[in-house]
Amino acid sequence: MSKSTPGQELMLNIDGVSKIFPGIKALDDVHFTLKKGEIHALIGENGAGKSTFIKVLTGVHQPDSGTLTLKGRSIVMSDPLVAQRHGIAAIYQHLAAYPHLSVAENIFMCNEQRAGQSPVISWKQTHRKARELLDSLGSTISTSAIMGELSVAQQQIVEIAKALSQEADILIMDEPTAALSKKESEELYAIARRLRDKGTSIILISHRFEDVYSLADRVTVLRDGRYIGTWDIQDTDEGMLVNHMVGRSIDQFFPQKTAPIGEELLKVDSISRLGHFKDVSFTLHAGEILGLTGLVGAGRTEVVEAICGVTKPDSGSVTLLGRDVHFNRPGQALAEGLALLPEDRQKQGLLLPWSIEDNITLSNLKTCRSHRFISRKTIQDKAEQTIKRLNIKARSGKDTADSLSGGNQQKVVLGKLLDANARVMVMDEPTKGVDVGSKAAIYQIMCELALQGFGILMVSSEMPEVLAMCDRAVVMRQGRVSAIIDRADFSPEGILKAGMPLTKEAEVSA
Amino acid sequence: MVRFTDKIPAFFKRREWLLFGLIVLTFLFFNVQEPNNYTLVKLLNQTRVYMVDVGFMALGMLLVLILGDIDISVAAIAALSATVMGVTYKAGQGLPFGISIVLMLVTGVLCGLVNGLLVIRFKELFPMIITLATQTLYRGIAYIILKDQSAGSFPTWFSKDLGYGLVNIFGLDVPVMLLCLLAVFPLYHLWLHHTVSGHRYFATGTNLTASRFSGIHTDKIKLSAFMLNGLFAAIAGFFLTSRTGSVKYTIGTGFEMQAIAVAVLGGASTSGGKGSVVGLLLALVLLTALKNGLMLLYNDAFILNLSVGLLLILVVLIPNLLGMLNKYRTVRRQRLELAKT
Amino acid sequence: MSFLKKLVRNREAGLTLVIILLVLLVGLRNPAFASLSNLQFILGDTSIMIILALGMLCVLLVGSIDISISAIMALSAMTAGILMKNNLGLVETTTLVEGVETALAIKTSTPLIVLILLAMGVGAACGLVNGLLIAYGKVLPIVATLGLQYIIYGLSHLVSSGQAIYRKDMSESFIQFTRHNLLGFNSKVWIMLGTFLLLYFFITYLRSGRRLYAVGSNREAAQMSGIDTKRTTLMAHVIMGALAGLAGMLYASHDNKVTQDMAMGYEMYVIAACVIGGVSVTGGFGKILGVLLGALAIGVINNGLTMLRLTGNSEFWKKAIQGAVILIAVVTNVYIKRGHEKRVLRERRL
Repeated sequence: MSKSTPGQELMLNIDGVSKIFPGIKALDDVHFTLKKGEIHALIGENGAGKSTFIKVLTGVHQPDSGTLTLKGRSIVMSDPLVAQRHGIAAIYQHLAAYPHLSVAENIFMCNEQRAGQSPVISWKQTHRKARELLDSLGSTISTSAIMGELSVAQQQIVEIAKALSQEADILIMDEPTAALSKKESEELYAIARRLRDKGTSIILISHRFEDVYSLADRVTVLRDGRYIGTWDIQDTDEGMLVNHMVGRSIDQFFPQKTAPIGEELLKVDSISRLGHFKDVSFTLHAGEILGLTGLVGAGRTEVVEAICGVTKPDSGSVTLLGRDVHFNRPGQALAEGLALLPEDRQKQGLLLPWSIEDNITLSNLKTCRSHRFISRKTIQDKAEQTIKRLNIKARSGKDTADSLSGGNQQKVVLGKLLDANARVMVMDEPTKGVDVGSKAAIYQIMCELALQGFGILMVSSEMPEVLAMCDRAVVMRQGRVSAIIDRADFSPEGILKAGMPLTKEAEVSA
Repeated sequence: MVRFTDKIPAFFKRREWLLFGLIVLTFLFFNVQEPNNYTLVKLLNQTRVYMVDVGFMALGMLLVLILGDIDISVAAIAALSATVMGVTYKAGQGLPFGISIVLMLVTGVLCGLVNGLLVIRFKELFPMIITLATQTLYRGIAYIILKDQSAGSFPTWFSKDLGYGLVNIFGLDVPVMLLCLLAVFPLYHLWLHHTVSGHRYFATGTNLTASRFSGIHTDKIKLSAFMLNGLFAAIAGFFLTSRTGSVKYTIGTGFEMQAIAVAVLGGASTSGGKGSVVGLLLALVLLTALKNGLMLLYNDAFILNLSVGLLLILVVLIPNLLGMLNKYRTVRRQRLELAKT
Repeated sequence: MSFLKKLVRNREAGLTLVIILLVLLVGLRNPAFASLSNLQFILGDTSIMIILALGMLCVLLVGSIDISISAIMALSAMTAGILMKNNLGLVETTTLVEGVETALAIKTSTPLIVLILLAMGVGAACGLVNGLLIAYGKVLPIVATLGLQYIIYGLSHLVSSGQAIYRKDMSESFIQFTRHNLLGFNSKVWIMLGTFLLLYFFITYLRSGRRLYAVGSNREAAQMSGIDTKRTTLMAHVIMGALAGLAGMLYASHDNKVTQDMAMGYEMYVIAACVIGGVSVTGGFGKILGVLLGALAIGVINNGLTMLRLTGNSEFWKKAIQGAVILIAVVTNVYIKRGHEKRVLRERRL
């Protein structure tokens, strides 16, 4: 890997930027510099302020204090168009695309191709230029394809083409490889390096250290909206960066799992669902933590949703506690002792405007009655117990769920399910977007549950989590189970390899 | 611990107080304008015309609005069920009146069932579109049954005693109809705000997906809301007929909008999860006071509607604007704090 | 891909086929229906609905809705009508009747174009209020336009002091406005075509037109790329209002009458036309040709139900069946979409 020495010319200098939202200080005195032709990684945990920082930089938000100097000139980024004019372009993870519109139009939205000063959009020119841009990226996506029907990787390419079309000299990439296969990621790396070598400065936001170490020249860490530091990439290692991100050492992060493995609780036998997954089989035992891993989009969430009655499998059978079950809705599964902690806690887990108490008792409200009416007192008492047990940090049970941090929100959802007397707990990405303290607490709870005889099925994309917590791991690839690996045989490479999509060539030769 | 002083503002910030104040203001205003014709006693009598049928309809609509849905077809359901009642009774030549009434209620529930089934079966269509279509359908069926005739000659207890009857309570002549309506409110309040099943409507309306994941049978909740709404619409048609004495296929035209307006005034939101039975009652009283006063001053249905529209928009708009102002002030205060440090 | 498959995927072609089939079916029972003159009549009859549906397309595209359009039609026609009534005068002219010069008194008033512009202006003002409430006041579209519907009907009553406007109050040019034919087509058809082409150009070739799609497709993204989403929403409502004003004038001239409750309930057909035409009620998707065909389909159904003569008095049946037909059309629409989705899933290789 050749790394061109970045020029010393300073493109961007951000000094003492703060941004306030009602109730939160999202950015607190943040510094950042970007040189010409360098790739500068910006890392930090979820909620560290990375996306707010990007939005300030692209003019979506106006900072409350601090200065922005671009190529030596002080600039007020009053709206996104100003940022665009100054050559700043961003590739957002999933926010920016117009799913109903064509590829060409997505590329040139707000930068419409017209004949000279004429107000009329020239569609011919739009499609021609879009084609040129896509060709330059080595992509064959049709310019008239509808954005929403493309794969995530293809959409990513379109977003890059969009950034190129603005002739940006500062390019921001927000988690560009989150949903890409290894091959696609490498193609993206190649594009990024090519751009850098042409003199474009790139700000790379990623939680994959692989991205950071194969691309970045320098790295800046944010934590809780504050600036922690900037280092040359050679002077860092993974452990040190992690320590800076979480603010403490993570040696004792994962608890020791001691639960013995007992009888079979859940048996899934070759279930299929059209277009989502095919012939998926595995078993789950009492006291066991079973990982379900693979890439985003491999069909993991779809599988657990079909098991728990959110959707229905087209064929195959599910056996819970020795009985054949066919759930039509999650409520039935819950009643039979199968609880699902959903992936998106804000949309699927919580009633955000409701209080913590009401959220915790929602699944088990029937037990909170005196005579025929709801008893606030019982709700309070029950919730109080759960809040204590899970150590949920809130002023009182009356606080609304949306006032909580991600970790505490997740605990509320978990508390609700624990209240409902389940035997099998399915957890879909339980630590996604959760702060480190809560993460450790959730792992601790999982171990306790296993010790109590729960069977836990954990969907996870995070390799360390799978390696440390699971007794076995089911790896999925493109809707099928590609491997079931025992703890003794765990290796990061093995799991990664089983999850990587087969390229077309490999399939042909296979 | 929540301090006692923290509780007071929240309690007084409730929509109900705003409505209560408006009721007092409205009453005083018209009372000054028309001291002889606009009195509490006369207003009480007028509730018969302005309050009862719309009130029943609004009770059903409240449920649908809490779920974040809407039902445009309620007035048509009222017309169709009243038509069924009138036609089966056939001015005494047909079925016994009691059975006609049962058939009427069943019709209302069935119409609601159709709405509900369509809504849960075709989630991509939105209740608004579906009920817009069933509205024409239901009124069309009423039209086929009744043509442009009217059905009437109901028993006297229905058209006289119920329609015009008064009961003397503490020296006040209270319309029988109003008593029927008022009797429903406490029960409805207890059910909606204090039982598990009532709680579930609010949960489903606040976040359908999360409620479903939490074990609530959301389809059943939706279906039952639309069926209850149909039932209440039929009851509204019943009282409307008893007040006017006869049924035509056009009765109650536009009432659906009034029912929505009352529920929204009372604190419901078309985006779901909110609503209050007490608020609904107050909104109903407010509208009755307002309509009656305007009718006395202008004797014009259009002016009346104009003021209803204005009220509806203002009551929704003002809290929105206040909320925006509040947010702006919070951020400004934080900014000042930042500048100091 | 087989021809049939293509047809199912292309909604516009499918809709055209459905319309042709409907015409043939009704024509079998009543040949007068499929006659050229009747088809021209249907087109003229549907033009008003198409104009309104074009406006509704803009509003739906940004993810909003307007149910106050019939009230706007009434108010704008009423305002223009009152101006016309107040300026009414007689002009003596002579014409040749059977070779003899005869004196005739022709009613004249404010020039027609002024009246139409006034009506459109009033409509646009109503749309502006709708847009302000929705975009800047954050009132939900249904509530805002429902409330405004009441207010606007009230206003139209106020400006007219309760009086309707009849043929006797109308100038000759206004009465004849929708009675001219050009190349066999009614003037309403030509106005509709003009509006259609204008709007087609606007939402296909102009930046502000394309932004309607952008805002409805992904509001947050639109904001981030610097589109003023509030102003775009406002614009959609103003366009809707202005078109409702125009439609109100056509309606009034067609009926030779302006009443306060004119066109009540019309909004339902217009929304249904958009849904059948494939417009997404959540915004971001909808083709202008689809809207035209959707409205046309409803026009054909409405007219066809009258011509079917199902019973002695077909009016009854027409009224009753309309709702059912719209429901069936909308539901069929869902099944087509679901079929498409299923096909996409099946094509995925696992």
